[in-house]
Amino acid sequence: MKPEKTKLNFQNLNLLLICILPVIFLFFGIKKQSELHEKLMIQGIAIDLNHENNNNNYKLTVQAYDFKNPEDKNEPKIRVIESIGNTVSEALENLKKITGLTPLYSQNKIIIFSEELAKNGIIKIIDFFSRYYENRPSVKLRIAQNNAGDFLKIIPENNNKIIKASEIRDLVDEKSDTNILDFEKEVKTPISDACLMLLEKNSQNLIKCESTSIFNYDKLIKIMDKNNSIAIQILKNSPKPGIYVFDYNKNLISCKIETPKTKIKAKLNQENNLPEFDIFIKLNANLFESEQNFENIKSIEINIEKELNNNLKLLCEKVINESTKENCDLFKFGKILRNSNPKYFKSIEKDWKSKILPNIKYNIKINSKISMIGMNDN
Amino acid sequence: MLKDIQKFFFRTETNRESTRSKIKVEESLEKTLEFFQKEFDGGADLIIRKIKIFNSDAAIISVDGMINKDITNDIIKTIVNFNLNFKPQISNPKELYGEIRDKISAFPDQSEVFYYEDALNMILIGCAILVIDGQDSILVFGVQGFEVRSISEPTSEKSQRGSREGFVEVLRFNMALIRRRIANPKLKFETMQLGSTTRTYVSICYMNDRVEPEIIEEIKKRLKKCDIKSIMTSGCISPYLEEEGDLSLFSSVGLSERPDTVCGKIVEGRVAILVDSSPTALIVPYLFIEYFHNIDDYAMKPYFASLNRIFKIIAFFISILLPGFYVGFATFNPELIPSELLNKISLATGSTPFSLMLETLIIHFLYEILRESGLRLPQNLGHAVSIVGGLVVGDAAVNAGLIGAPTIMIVALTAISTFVIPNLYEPIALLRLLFIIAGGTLGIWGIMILFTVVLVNLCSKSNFGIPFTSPISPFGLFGMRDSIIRTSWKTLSKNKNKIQNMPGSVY
Amino acid sequence: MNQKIISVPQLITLFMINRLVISMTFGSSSINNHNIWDCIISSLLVFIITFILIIPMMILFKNNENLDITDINEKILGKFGKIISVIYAFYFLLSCTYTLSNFKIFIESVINPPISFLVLLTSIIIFACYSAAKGINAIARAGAIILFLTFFLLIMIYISLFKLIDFTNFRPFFYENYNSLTDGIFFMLSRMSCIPAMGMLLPMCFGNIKKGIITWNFLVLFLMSSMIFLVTGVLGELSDIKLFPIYTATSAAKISKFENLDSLYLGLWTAGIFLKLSLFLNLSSECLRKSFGRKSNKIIIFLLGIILIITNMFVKISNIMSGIFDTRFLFFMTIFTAFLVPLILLIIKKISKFKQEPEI
Repeated sequence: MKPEKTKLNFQNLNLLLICILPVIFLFFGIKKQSELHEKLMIQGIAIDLNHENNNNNYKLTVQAYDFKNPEDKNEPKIRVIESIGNTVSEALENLKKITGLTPLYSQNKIIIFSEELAKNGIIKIIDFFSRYYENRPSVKLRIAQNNAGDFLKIIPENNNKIIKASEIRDLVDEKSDTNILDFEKEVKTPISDACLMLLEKNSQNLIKCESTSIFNYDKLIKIMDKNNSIAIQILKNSPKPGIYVFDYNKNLISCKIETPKTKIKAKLNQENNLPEFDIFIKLNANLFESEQNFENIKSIEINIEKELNNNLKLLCEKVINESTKENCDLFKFGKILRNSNPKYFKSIEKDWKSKILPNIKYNIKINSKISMIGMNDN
Repeated sequence: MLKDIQKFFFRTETNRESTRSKIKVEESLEKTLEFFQKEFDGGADLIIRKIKIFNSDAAIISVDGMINKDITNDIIKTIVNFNLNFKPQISNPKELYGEIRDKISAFPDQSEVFYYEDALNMILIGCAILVIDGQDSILVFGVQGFEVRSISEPTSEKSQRGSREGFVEVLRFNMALIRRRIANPKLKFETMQLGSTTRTYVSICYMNDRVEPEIIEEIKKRLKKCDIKSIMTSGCISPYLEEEGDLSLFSSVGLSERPDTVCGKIVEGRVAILVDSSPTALIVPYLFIEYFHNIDDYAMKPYFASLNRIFKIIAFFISILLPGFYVGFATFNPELIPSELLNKISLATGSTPFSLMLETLIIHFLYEILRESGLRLPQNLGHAVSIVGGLVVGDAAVNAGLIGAPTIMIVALTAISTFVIPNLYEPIALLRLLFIIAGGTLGIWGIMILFTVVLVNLCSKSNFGIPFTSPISPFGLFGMRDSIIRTSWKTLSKNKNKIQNMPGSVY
Repeated sequence: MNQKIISVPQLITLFMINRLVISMTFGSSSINNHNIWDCIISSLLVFIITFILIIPMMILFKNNENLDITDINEKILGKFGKIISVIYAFYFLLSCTYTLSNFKIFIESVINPPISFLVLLTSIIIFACYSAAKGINAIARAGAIILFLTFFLLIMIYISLFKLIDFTNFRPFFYENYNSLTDGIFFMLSRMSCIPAMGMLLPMCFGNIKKGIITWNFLVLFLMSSMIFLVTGVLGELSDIKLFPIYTATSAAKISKFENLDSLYLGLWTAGIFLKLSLFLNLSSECLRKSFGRKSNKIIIFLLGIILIITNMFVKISNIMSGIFDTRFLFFMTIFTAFLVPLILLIIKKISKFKQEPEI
């Protein structure tokens, strides 16, 4: 049987589709796409306010890999490039004009804002980064003491190699770190606020990242020191707040605090119609070192636990006091109150941060457990 | 044996027989010889040995190289001895013919034919014929004795624990290899002649009680439609067994050189088609998942066999998708690659002059050229080619900075993965190139679109009413026990695992 | 007469792919409001409403088991029925256009990849035409594999997102107002293109259809509510601001070294869109084929494909287009094809039976 010649043969049409169209159409899709090595693989971005020129607001320092001119076969060349622009996106655009390479943001590890910039508000910049697809929402954010750009070009004295952006990122435990999405989540909600870790540099060019800077909306308002940061981490339920050193019978004891479980409950005081919060904290602490040898472990353990509870309670109270005084709702009191008393909260929602928050009352109960004592000398 | 041949010979329908009317054997020897000489047109391999039996002229006709000369000599000797030892009491050639047929040549494979065409066919398949002047029939002796390759392990389908026998080029031997494994009268062979020029014998082989008669009818119908002139290999008729209008890259006709594999399939209700002069049997209906099966799977422990199959499937996906993903991700979606890996890739491609897509395509072309050259060359030269290929393309190109080392590695990994499923080489080679182009032009979007198209193409395929992708989609738990995984023999032998029971089958 | 070619699980597969494609673009922009969390109640209500909407279609199908909606139209309404069938074809095409325009908005506003979108769109449509021509059976089988992969990836994303849930993000229901509830219902119902598709697909389907539809509806409920739950839990109020919150949430998911699972999810989403397009192109061409009495639907499919390409090129330009692309229009069309037409057909049939009976 021969197929009728008059009819259009769809078998051939299928064949055409299978073989030719894909190839032709896909080739039409080719746009000038820069190859991997023609890209400037950005590792870290530091943003400062520009004081030199009035026309340009921002000064950007970028740490990036340049694969076109590698140093040797195994290591790409790390370049630190500075550019200025009226906006951050303009400054980033200028990178191409400076280097001739297309910037690639998807491998970016960290964005550092200078303290000065953060005090003026960073929401516009965050907006840009969260809008731009290539920028991943998992990029970590930091505030830098003084100049942000300096942190991306540090060369330690004992080593000739520049400190990589990924190394700066890894100073903070990943689970308790804040990325763009987390920050945006808190800032874009009118009843909660965010905090970011602060980068500090000592005279020997060593970086440390212990303190926390707290924000009201998108503006930096206060910097909390190391111990306060631990309290913040505990209250924020971070899995690894860090090592806390305190005084016990005139001896320094250091504890590694782990897996705090913080529960905050809101209730309304019927008399003055103000919210009250009960904060229960349960945490594990590992005794790391002490200057004293313990004899009766059991009783001392209980004593240390008590001392630790007291110390941490004072710290937490201090942190909550200081932050609420600045109208900063770091610990989601607003959200908790809204979820438990929606009608009441709706009536005070507008005044929540300005009037109610600084006056809230709270009770903190801390239950710490020292699980690893280490050794005794008996 | 001769009677067998004759039996199916008379049943077969060839184009030639339908067009020509048969000519009866004439009594005159002269005319008979004239006929054969005319048919062979003075061909060098036609042997006509004229002898005299008593007073009658006679001739033994055969084709050179197709007969066993010892047996033929024996037959001639008996006839000639008869001539010498006995007094001439037989005057009539017909009497003489009868005497020779019934008494003298007591040869088991012996028959008589009455038409020239039949006699001609007998000669062509290696028989010798005896023509006696004045007799209107011809005596045929089955003395086939051509040189054949001995049965050996198939090189393309080796097995660790299966039998070491493989099909050979002779249809009869192959049929015997199958019959020896299935000693069941339900096993049926049906033979027909295909190819208007070569008139090759093709045998359909199945279990009578396991196959739906519709499938057999359909196979016969399709084979009869086959209007090919010459059949040199089983691959020639496999397109005719596919569904009409099927332009898929994948073939739904299975191939095997192993009698044990073929027997396994026959027992499951499939039909094997053996082609004379080809050591490869065709198996229909064939499922996509069977490409990943191996006779060794059934000899191993089920957990290991299942693991093996899963690895093979992964290797299949690696071999078609990996280069495409590599090009697509590195060009359009570098965010998907972990940074350390991306650094390595960028470092390697940093010094190369070509774009990543072009680079991958070039190495693929080079690889295909090397493969093809190594395949057809004598074995010693083949080694040389692989050394040169490995050294020049692999090492020197990377050192010279022409091609990135990760690209070489990707192509090598892809190539090795392909060898895991040698039967799928053809579609894989083409799809790989398409995926590289798709990935290099539209990134992950292009790859996903092409992947879905291939998937739809694969899923739309069905042969003899059984979906090609069964039992994965349409899904059937019953069929899954011997598909991606293999359950133990205890489970497998519980129910009749017939191919017609696959989900989505129309039977 | 229709052949029974697909099984009930395959039917569910086709509908689930359709739903996955839609759910990806679900966001505050599609519900004109700022509270996605309330939509979890909407999805529950839609679950109940769907059962009500299906009833006329199911009764119609029960009485004419082997006839699809176009056949029934023609049987009951005669020549006028052909016009209704053309409306069905138009609806299916409209649904395709909606999906594609959403795809376009998504790609251009969120990802902006360095590839020509026109080529991407054209190649998707052309290949969708090809697979539409391959038939429902092939689409359903391929769909099962794509759905399996998508669910596999979704489960991985769900697990990784589950750790990120912050329970303070779950607001009390209807904290602000009830608008998002109604808007959510409006959105989900206007995308309920599965019910009109049922009119075409049910006659081809074998197996326990009732059970299948109940399962499908439960799965839709589970999918929508789990997505809303996860997105709200992970993103909080941010989910009300983001254009495509479900995508934003997936971009936060990571499994060990592999952070950017959203790209993979997008790839599978593309495959889903592709299959949805092929299904609806096929259904649309079937409607047209039957109403014009042609033998092969291949030419119609390719013509429809060309129409799709052209409409998607000019979506933004024409004013008429923006009228058609209004969600209210789609809502009306969905209710019309899913509920009203089968209901009217049923009523006419009942009346004609009443009329006939006294004569006998």
